[in-house]
Amino acid sequence: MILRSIFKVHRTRLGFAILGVSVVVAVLSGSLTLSRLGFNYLSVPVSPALLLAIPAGLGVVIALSGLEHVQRPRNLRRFLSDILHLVLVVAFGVSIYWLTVHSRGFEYVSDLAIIRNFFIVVGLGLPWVTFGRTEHSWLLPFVVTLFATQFGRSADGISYPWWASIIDPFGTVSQLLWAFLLFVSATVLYITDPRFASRKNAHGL
Amino acid sequence: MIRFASKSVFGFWSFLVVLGAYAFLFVIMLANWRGDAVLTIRGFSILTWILMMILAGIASVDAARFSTAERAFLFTEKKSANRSFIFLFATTFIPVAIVHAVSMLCALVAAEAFIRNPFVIALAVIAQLASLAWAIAFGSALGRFLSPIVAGPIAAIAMFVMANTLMGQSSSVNRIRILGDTGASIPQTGLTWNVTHLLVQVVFLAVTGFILLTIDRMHMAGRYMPSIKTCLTGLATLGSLVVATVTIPGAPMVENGVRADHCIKGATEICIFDEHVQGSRSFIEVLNALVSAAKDHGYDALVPAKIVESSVRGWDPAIDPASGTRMVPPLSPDIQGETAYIAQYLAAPLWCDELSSSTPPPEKYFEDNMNVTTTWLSIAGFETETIDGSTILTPKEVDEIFQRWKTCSLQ
Repeated sequence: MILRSIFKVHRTRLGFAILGVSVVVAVLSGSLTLSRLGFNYLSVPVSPALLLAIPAGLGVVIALSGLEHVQRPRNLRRFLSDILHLVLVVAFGVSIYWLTVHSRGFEYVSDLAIIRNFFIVVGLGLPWVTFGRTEHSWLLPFVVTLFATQFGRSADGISYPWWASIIDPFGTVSQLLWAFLLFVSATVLYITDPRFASRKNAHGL
Repeated sequence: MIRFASKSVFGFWSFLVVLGAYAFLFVIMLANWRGDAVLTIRGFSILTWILMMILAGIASVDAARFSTAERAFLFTEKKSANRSFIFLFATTFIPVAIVHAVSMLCALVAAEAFIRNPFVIALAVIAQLASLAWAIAFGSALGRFLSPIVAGPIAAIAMFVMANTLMGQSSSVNRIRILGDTGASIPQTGLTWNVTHLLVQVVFLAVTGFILLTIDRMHMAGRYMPSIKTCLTGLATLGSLVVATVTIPGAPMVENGVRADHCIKGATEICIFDEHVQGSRSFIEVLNALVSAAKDHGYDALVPAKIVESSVRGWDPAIDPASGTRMVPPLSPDIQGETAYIAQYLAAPLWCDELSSSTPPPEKYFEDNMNVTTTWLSIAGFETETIDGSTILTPKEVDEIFQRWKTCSLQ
């Protein structure tokens, strides 16, 4: 009952619809191999399933939005309920996308890379929700992806610098770690909601 | 006014993305651009399709936000609606245009570019701006019918599709590139923009962009819907771009007829493009070393009567191969230290059609070419650059090979 009302006040339907579309498109197109994105050739070819983790992650971000213009109470119960909601939504998004893509066994995309990309996209998108601009949550994931294809070539030609790891189809543990760190920072921002943290605003709630 | 714009229109801040992208590119590519004005300007065009995607997305979100029900009172009449969307457009475009123009100017100054025609360069920059402006108008036209949450990615992906289908890949294809240039990263010596192409492009983008920016809306049940007339206008506008791409001929770049005419007397006469005079010192040293070594060791066949820097289009057919004139590749910083490549290019019979045809030249040619290159490099003291598995030839053998190559018998 409480969970249902939490889902109702957020953009759960729209977010999960975007997630669902991304999953379907990923399943249909995942066996293709992209050797370039737009006019930029990729150092390592990727499966579309790697890049479709970006709209899927944005779906998760949108599912977490909806209350960004509301001043909410600052107490433990609200923090806990926010944590629960966030963990549920992110875990659902990651697991449904990851399990679907994993079960198809596509080439040029790995489990590590999918989970990493989810963390990066949520980490870059969620702060926009926190600061009341959900409609711009796509901006940084898109900019990072496009800049990675343009500037992310390293000297050896087969690996990517840390900031361009979003288009690395295989992924390393250290990439996953910094992506997770980014995700955790965004989560802490989201839950503590620093816009309303000053004493004056908190008073009376 | 600026204060209001920066607070109410997110698009005002999109210049930061442009600035970041240009700064990144500037740091990486400046050394390559040195001296070459056309390359410097076209170098930035590499980013155009990326910036068009981002700008379309940002403009789309702004238009969507201004079209929500709570802002509907702002434009009850069509005229004031158009005025608001033009205000949004200007707020996004003007900072971007200033950043773009200033970046081009700074890059030209920093690259110490040799400018042949400032008006054509200005026109090329205007054409780049027209592409960016069109992307903003396109995003704005899409955004006013979408919910703000999804407007950004949808417009960005739509722009991606448009750019991929209309911008084309190769500049050698003789078709107009209506959405603009996809850039260059190799020397552009001997090339200039096709002015007609630029003018057609600017006019076309300005007209279709304006149509998209002032596209009509229909108010229905609290939200804006495209009317049938709007749909038809939009489709006709986008369709006209496709039709223009397919039907209007005209390559974006044409040869400017300039030859390498800055000549230096060294071991032999070396003529290079004015663009490359600044950074040519180490190349001249290498060329002098190669020619003097060939003279000293009695390899007369290797000594060119004159060395001419080739344009980006390769061998100049106006040169008579019998005159002893030979060409070096465009002396860009890319090939700094690539002595083997320079020697190989200098020794190759570039006038032979067999080298540029789709069927590769016979195996014997590659063997000869490798042996000649290795011989030349080792007598000139570049032993570390020699090619493995090749032999050092005597002056007589080299002479024999060159006699055959003169008539293009590569067997």
